[in-house]
Amino acid sequence: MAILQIEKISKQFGGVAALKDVSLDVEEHRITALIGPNGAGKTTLFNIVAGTFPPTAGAVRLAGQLLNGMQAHERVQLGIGRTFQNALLFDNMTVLENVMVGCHPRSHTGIVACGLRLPAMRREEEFIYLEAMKYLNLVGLGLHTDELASNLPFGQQRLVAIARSLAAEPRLLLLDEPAAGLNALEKMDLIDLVRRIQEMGVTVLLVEHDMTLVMQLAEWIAVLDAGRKIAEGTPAEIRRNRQVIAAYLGEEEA
Amino acid sequence: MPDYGFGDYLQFVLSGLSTGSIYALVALGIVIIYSVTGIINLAQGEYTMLGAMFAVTFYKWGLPLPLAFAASVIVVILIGMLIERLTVKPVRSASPVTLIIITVGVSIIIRGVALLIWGATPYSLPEFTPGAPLTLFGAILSRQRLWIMGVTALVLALLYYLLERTLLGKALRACAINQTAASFMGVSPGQMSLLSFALSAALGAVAGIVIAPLTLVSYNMGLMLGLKGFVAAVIGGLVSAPGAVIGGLLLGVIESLSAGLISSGMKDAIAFLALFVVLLWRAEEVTPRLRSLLRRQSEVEG
Amino acid sequence: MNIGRFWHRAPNVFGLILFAIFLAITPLWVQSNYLLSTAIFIGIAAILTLGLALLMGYAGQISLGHAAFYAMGAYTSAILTVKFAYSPWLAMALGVLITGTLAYLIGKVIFRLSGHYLALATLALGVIVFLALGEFRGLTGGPSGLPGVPQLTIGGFSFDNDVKYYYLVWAVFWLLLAFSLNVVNSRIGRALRAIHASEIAAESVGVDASRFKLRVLVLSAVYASLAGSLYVHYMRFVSPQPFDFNASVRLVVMAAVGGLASVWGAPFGAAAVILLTVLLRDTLPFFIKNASGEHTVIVYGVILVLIMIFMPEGLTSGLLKRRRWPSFRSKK
Ligand SMILES: Nc1ncnc2c1ncn2[C@@H]1O[C@H](COP(=O)(O)OP(=O)(O)O)[C@@H](O)[C@H]1O
Ligand SMILES: [Mg+2]
Repeated sequence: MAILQIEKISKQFGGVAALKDVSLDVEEHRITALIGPNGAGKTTLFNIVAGTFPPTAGAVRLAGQLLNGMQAHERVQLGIGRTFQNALLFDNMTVLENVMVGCHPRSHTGIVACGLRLPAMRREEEFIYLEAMKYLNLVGLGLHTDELASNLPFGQQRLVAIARSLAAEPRLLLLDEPAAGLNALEKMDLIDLVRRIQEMGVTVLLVEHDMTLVMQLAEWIAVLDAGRKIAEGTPAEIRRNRQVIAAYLGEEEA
Repeated sequence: MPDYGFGDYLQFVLSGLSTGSIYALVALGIVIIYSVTGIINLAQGEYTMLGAMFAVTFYKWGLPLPLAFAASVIVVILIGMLIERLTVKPVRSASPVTLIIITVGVSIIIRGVALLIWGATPYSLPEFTPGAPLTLFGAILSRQRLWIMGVTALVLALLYYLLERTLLGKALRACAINQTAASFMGVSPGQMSLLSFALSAALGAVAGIVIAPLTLVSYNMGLMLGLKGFVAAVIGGLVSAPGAVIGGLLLGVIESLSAGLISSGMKDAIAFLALFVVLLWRAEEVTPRLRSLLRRQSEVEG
Repeated sequence: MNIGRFWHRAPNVFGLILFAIFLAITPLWVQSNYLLSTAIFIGIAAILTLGLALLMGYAGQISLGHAAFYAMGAYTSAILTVKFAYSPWLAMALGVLITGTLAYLIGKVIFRLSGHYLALATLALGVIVFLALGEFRGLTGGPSGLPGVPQLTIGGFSFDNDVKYYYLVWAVFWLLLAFSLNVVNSRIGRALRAIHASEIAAESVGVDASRFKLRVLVLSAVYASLAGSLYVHYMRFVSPQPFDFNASVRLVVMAAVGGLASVWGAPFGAAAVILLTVLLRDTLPFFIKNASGEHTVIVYGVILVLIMIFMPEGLTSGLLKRRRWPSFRSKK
């Protein structure tokens, strides 16, 4: 079953058409990769799915439910998690606090209970702390909890961002170029991490430029070029697809 | 309620339009600075006070009125530019809260210094062309009110020419649309920021001088005028020059009508209630729920 | 409970204890009635500043009409007790309710707009409330004010001298400070700091930014209302003058001086500005002939601009280093 249905999405930025009539079904529990040259519209598509801004036309559904008109934070409640190409951590907070914010949708204490430190609030704080630690350990940053997020190297910042999204227990996780800037060893760890995330029952949709990584990880690949979806299929099919090869060769020549 | 005839209503509208012209000029200054620099300049009203004060001072020194007018505008422009260099340039990338607080501080300083220099006693400036008021369809209009509307029209024409027809205006507008892109095109956002402060200082000064003969000139006259300018600017959408003008005129007429028909004491309060109404309306306009409702509607139809 | 996490809270807990001791012993060495009454005003201002610091520092929003919320508390207390013989405590509670509701309604509208409309809306609110206080004479007594506000009493105990009132005001402040510190160090405080760092990122983890800004606005309005009630029961009289636009600006100066990065700055900001005002009032006439209270606002203006340019985080955190935890943690 498709957990995410992207139906005929178009997006105009002023005169620029960033996306034209893009449709894509993301199967539940399957790692899907979205690839394409720079400027193809991948991040724009993520932003539309996550609700950062509305599409010019088209619809997005999560498990059949129409998301149009819903704000980003409402979509998180429904189970969409995402990371940003540039991590976008809360720089003024520690690594642990960043991930604790991720638990926000799963906690409920109001301002009065927080101000009075009522027992329910303390219990919830403990829960938030343990959950945050769980996901920090999962991404391998359990020993860096008290560092300011902005002091970490960039690759680790992206891991914090993944932990932060996971802390909301999403059903669908959108990862925007998680491997950019990682060395070979770190990439292997990342592949391992994404697989573990999949085993936790989370559906992963990722944007990535590193083809080796994509081919190892993805079970399904969709290709965007200049705002259009030009192909979709298994890694083997995509590898053979002439249009895809042309799009990528075109980029390399440019 | 007294029984008003057509002449009375015309009177309200005309005097509203002339006061509204002042609001329009102040609002324009606010809009220019906001569009170019993103700063909500809460010191805008002080330029009107300075314009009026310097005009009074130069006139007292014996300068003829037109010269006093011009000299005052130039001095206020220089002050506006000085303020930009001293308080805005050093913090270009600061947060909006910081920038707003800075302009509040600047307005306090200007007001306090004006009190030091000119004292608390109000001054007056003679009408530009003294004489009996004019009568029009039963409405009585002082000559100065005609001056206000005439000068405002002239200033608007000049401003339009500057913004739409000159290279400088194009650069300014480019900066208002997209600073980064403008800087790629060789426009310096820093210089445009300076220019925007100079322009709004000039607009404020002109407004202060033309209204001076009708009101008393005192160190604290800028506060209320500045606030009214804001209401007008927000009515007009905060980034639109024609919007600011329409907002100003509208506010002037609403005020004048409510002063005549309801009570003059509530006139100021009504201006600010208008601000709430506008904010409410604008907020509804962007309400996501409303948007999604509309979208669902169109989905059903389409 | 995890030891490391206890140490995160420790500075605040010890700070609160030390601060309580300091507050408790102050009247023992401050013998002058004038200073004690100044200390009461500082306490009231500190309550206001605390709310404003939360709003500015944590929600990233600014209120330029906070005196309106202050006035609502003050006048609700005064009118209900003087004209309708309500119990002062009930009047205070109703003041909180009314003011909080008003703030809620305003925020509900404003936070749907992006940008800094709250500054303009609160500014307008401040002007409207100030004008209304002078205009509705029947209820407010107009510009000449409303005398005869009763003293606060609990059972048979009456807060009838400055020492007792000092302890009352500062006890309220201390409780609100503790409350605020708890809020700041909770999921809500983290959400607010997250919004401050990046609204897009905060939304992406499910934080409803406008909802949290709204809550902080209401909280700060409630603090202001409480401060207003405490003010009138101390003065036993209320008039519009202390709630004008300058009053709102003075509150912003206090918050800015105290610093927006920590609620601890509030009492320092309030104390610094009030003591400076007293000092200027006494010394300025030596330098400037005919100097009046209005001249002192120039100094506020200069302080405000200088702090915002050179220490946008505020004086306290600009001077103390911006480390949040004690320095035994290594920093790479
Ligand atoms: N917020 C925006 N405003 C204007 N144009 C944008 C915006 N975001 C993306 N674009 C444009 O949309 C196109 C697609 O960008 P993006 O989705 O970031 O590509 P990708 O992530 O595939 O590299 C680009 O031409 C880019 O300039
Ligand atoms: Mg991208």
